[in-house]
Amino acid sequence: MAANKAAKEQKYDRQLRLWGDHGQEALENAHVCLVNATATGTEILKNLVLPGIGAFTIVDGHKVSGEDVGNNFFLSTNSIGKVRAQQRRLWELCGGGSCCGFAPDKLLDNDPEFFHRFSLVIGVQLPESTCLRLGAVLWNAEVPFLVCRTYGLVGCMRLVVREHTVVESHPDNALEDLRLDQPFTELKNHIDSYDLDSMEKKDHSHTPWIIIVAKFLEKWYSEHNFQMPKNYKEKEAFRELLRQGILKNENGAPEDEENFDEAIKNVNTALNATKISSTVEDIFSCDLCDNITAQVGQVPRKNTALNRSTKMRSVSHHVHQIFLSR
Amino acid sequence: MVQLVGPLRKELADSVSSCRVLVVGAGGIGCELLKNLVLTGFRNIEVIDLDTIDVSNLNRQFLFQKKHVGKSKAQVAKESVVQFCPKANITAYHDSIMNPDYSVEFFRNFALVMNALDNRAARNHVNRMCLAADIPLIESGTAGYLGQVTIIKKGLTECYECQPKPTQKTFPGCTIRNTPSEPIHCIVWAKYLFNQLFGEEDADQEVSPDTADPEAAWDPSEAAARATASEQDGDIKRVSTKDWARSTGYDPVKLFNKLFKDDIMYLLTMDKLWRKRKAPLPLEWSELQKQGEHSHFSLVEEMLGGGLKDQHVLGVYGYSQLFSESVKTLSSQLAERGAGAELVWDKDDPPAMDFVTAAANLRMHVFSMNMKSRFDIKSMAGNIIPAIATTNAVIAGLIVLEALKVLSGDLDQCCTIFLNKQPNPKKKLLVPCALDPPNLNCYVCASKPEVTVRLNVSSTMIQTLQDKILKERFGMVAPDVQIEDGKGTILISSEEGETEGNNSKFLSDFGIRNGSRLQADDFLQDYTLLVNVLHSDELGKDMEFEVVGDAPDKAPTPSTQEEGKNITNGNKDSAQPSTSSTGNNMHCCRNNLCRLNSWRCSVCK
Repeated sequence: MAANKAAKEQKYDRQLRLWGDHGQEALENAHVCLVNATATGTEILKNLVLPGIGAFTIVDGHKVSGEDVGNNFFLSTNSIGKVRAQQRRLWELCGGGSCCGFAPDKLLDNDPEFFHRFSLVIGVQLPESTCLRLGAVLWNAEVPFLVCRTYGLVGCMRLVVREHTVVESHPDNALEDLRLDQPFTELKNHIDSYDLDSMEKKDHSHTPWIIIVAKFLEKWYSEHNFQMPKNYKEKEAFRELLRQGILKNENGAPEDEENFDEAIKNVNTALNATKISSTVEDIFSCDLCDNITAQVGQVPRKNTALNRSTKMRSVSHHVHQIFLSR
Repeated sequence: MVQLVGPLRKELADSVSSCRVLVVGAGGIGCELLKNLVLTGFRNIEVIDLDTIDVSNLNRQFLFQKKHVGKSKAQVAKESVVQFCPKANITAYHDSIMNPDYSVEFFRNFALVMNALDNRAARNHVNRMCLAADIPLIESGTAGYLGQVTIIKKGLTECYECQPKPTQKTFPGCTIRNTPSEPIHCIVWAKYLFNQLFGEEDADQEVSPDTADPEAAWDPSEAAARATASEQDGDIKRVSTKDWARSTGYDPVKLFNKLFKDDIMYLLTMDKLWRKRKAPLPLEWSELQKQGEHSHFSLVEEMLGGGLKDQHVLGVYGYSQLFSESVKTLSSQLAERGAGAELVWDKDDPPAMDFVTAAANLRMHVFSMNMKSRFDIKSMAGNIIPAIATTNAVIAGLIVLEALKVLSGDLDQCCTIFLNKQPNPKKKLLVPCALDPPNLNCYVCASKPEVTVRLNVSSTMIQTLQDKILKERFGMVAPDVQIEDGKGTILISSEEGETEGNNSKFLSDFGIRNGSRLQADDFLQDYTLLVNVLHSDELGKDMEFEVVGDAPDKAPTPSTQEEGKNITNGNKDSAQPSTSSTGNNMHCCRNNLCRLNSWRCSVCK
């Protein structure tokens, strides 16, 4: 079991560095359905199988034709006439997969709920009527539907999805949440424990820049009616205040204090008002928070549906309390 | 009425099925490219790759399976393709494209060359070969979700080396040896240590304290006294690290105490270094073992936690154990290979990676830095670029589309295409850009390439000129150099042994001084470069030479992110402004942000 895990970590190393182990887990828990194993379809499936998709099912009522062999890498001439859903070469790539030799229309007639089990359904080269029927079933079942079509050197695709939840967004540029405008008790106490004016040079130069910004912010508040520097002019004035705080030697020239340089450099990003972004507010204000069902998007492992719903409700209330209280 | 064969016009279809093409590289892009070429109707394909298949390739290089691990990529790729398309005539070379067997004449056999490479040296080389042979080259690269494709055609477009690309960041020796301040310094130190102990010893990869550190600024008289003192201090001897280690039988405890206690205590005597810096704290093996036994339970707890094993950060005790185990494993591997053997560091070789993880972390701890997980260290030590199947699939598709334009003679329709992570303001994920004309001052494709190099003629050796300047910096493989002194005095001959006697002599020994000109040729690449020598006594710290006219070093920092999960493609702020004279409305900056493997614009969103 452990050896298996280690082998997978080795194989997927290069992609784990992109989407992490949560992303990988989501992939491995997914079950994808491909309707029509055309060249396009199998190409898509190959790209899902390689990174480790959990399971896939091919639905295809066609038999393999000569045309198929010409443009599908996974078919050879001795597959002609056979059921196209049986893509042996593709299965070899991942060691598994299931097939269904029925046409999608037949399934929609007899067993539309067949499609409810999938994380995603990919429909390739489907006639419009089938798209509409299948689309309706999937929309009601809240299963995302990816519609693809290719013709020679031209192609298109369209994604039909009701709602997609992203928890770990891996942002490229996240700003630090320093709470300098609303320091919590422990932070306030820590800041108070420093007394810049009475420090020797060594300690003065080694005080972390965040403390420096915090201290001078206090000074600023007393002169500016407890408002943070808001625009460029005020921030520049604040930076000047910091500059004045640099120790001077006997000749009145400023000493080399790297921590002050750092503080000045970080003024733009350190003085962010502590507030919930509007996009996050919207989530918690949404009706769904009051009517939690078990099926509320993908949630980190180890949470059962029950835990999830109770947690969500209490979390949304707590978050409001923390941020809005003083 | 135009005759069609599938989606292609008949003339194009005929060209496609009859022409010969060369694919350089059978990895991520290469596998996808071979499939696309064969399905598009290409029949005569040659593919070359010097590498063998590794487990970490299997998430995207779909022509390979687990049973193929260790085998030649080019060979297995050919076999897999032929299974799917028996009509394809594929020749596979398990070889380096830089081998002189692949001469300009070899390249002239092809209608088109397509690169699927992952390193700059090979790209430079193929660039020159295609210029010399006047064959169109399709260049490409990927990193994570990002990718790009472009065309290089002599006289028509920029060549690969027309725009200076930032060189990989290096650190001054004294930072690595004396005053590391970032994890990457410790990781580089650990890699050097690996080579000193088990691999090829390199004078530029010293790990012991650097007494010549200008910052330590001792009196010359003091230096002698300290040198003797250090010789008497424990086991520090003035012999090579490898010899010393061998004399102790690669005893992990002795090694540990030398590196993390004795050498650190020596550094502490250089007190000037620690006036403004936090001083390092030495570690002692037996002390650590005592502490370790007490905290053993926390180690077990960590191991039982969820998540990837590699992403855990052990404690100091844990890393001391890992250090000891890996030293034992590596030293027995070395012994097995017999006298004069050398190991080569490989990020995918577990004991080698363990060693670097342990040594780097111990050093980080000594210098009060937070230790890192094996996962993160591997990223940094191995310069790992994340890679997935889909990006390579898209790029390989684009390569073939451009190839079809080239074969139709429609070069004016070719362009550079960037694959972005998110759509740009015009909602495009794939962004085409016009190709730029050649840089008239390019040191490769200009009619008479010329550069100026600033160095110290009295202290620069011929060996350095050959290896660091001509080969490393200017991409030559087998340089021949003569002085433009009217006599054609030969400095360096590419023939083995002919000018070896010159290697340790200095440039000034040959009468080279400020203003001298050297003619450097690489006959394989059919490339002549005129080097103007500018003498200077004052080069930067640890700088052996400087190419005049280079943009200041804006190399993006190697991946030092905390999580190692996100990867950004270099420092966005260091994007260089467009130098294209024709201007370029379609995108906002030039793309010189290659960290190692791919080159692309990271700001075009």
